[in-house]
Amino acid sequence: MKKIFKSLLTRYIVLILMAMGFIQIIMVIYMFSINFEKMMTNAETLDDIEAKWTSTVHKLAPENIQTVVEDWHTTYPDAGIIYVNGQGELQQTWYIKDTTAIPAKWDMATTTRFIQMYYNHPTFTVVRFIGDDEEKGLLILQVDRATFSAVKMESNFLYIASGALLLFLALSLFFFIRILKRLVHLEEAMTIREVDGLPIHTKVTKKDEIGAVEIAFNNMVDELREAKQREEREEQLRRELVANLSHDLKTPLTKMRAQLQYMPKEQTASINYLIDTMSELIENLMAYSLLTADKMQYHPVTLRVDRLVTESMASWYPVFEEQDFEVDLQTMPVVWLVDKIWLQRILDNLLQNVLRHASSGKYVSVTVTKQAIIIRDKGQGFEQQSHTRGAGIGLSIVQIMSDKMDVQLLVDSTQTGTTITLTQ
Amino acid sequence: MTQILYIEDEQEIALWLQRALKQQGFTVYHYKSYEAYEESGHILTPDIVILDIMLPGLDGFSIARKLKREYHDLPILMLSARSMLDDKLEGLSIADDYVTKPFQVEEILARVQVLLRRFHKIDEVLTIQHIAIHTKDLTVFDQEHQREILLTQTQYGLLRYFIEHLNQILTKEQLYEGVWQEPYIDGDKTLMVHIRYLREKIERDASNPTIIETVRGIGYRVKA
Repeated sequence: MKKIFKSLLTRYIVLILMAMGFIQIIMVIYMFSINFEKMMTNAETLDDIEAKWTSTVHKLAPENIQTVVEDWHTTYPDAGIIYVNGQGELQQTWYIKDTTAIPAKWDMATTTRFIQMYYNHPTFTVVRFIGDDEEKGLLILQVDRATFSAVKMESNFLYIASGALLLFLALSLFFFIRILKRLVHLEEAMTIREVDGLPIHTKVTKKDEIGAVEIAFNNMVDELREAKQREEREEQLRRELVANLSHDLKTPLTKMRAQLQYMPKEQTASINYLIDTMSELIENLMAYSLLTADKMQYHPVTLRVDRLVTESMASWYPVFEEQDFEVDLQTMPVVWLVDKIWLQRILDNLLQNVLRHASSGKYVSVTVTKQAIIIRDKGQGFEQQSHTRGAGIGLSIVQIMSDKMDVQLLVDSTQTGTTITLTQ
Repeated sequence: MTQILYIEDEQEIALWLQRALKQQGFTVYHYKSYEAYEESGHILTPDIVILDIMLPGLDGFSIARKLKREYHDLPILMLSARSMLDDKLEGLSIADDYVTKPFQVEEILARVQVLLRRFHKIDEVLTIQHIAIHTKDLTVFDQEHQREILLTQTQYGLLRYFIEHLNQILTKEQLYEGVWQEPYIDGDKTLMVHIRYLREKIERDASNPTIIETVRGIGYRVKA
């Protein structure tokens, strides 16, 4: 039951009922005011006056005119009276302000003109034969119509009605603005993100329909958070698994290397090389598995690519030097939006590739221009090295990482060398 | 005698590395776990610690943290078959170096040497061509003319940085940020100027340097 009262629908209905109530009240006020008008105009309308005058004059004898005039004057101080005798001669006027319009001789023409003149005139005019007899003459009553016009309630009614209307408007506006405010508040809560990228809880203030939406929203946020945590746990688990797998594969490799100490030196070199290759393959396999599952951590930042390339070359230089490579590095300041570790890895894989598959050229050049990183060698090209295993996965990693970072990878390989261009 | 605390649970690997370290004249104390070390009752003040990460009981990260709290100037080298980046980053945030398995013994020996030098655990005299450098107090001696070479603060700083990163090519940015402790601004000539001053003092021929080698386009290197 309580819930029903808290419902927006209920409150809306109450509002509508109130509006209907207003209409009722307005109608009552209107009725009342009409009755009030009637009460105020009470006694006499012009019709009443006319009837009264008719009966008075019809009963009248010419000698009593003076008494009737005095009598009417006391009752209607504003009324004017004109007496015309049976021969159509103007006998006397009483209380007529402007006598110029009154003809001295009343024949058919002047009488008709007079009647015509006062038809619907502000001055109400009643013409009657005295004693209802043409021979006895006319007694004419003139009254200002305004004296008898009703006391108007219409203007007051207008104020009350428009006041009520405004009140209703204000109330409904208030009602909707409050709903609107809460909706906007909810919308804000949905847009704001916490550090974990999820929306924040919104405060539930009322237990109505919007309150229900807010509660549902909060539940959704909770579920989202839970799902995210679950996903993070799974991701963590997967990384853990891959890391442990790597550990489990590399430990025996290390043991193999340990065993090499008991072997004659001249036999160990190729095994050592194989152990390194194997380890690198495991490494790449792990990275590849994480990358394709989109589980490798990725944090792009604006990075001075030229510095990273220089640092990378600094760590690779001794190896190239050992193999009598000519190393050429040219850089200019460039900023890219990339993950530092990923780009590092891309460079490592590409340089590793040069070292392993293009050593016949004894040349590597790395150039950083405004547009690109260009790695060039003078090896025998990709066609020739395709038989060498190991290059595949390393380059696949380069490809996937480049794609993800919006870096275009262009490989131009001929028999006299390979040029790899990275652009962003 | 340099003492090394080495915790590793894989017997074969431990024996191998231990032998190589002993051949270099180090005293090695090897334990299979941190618990084993504690139970042994041996209270060591090692000069350097070599730690595996995946260990029975307390893992390498925790041991490193614990040891770093107890001895703040103790160099720690971590060894692990876990080569994932997270491990590497976490390892380097606690320890001073991180080597992934399967390593080469020579690499470990070199890195141990670097760490010992960096933490001034050994009083070693580095001879580079005609000059001799005491790595602990960083005195520089010209053996040709039998006299000590006095350097300015900045020159000492540069030399120290080179010695701590011996045989490593250092880029301009790394050197500048390492020695001056502030971000390098492109085109800044300060570093070049100071390297020239340093060369004038220690090189036989400053215009044709052989000690502080310029690696074209990349940076500088001091080779031992």
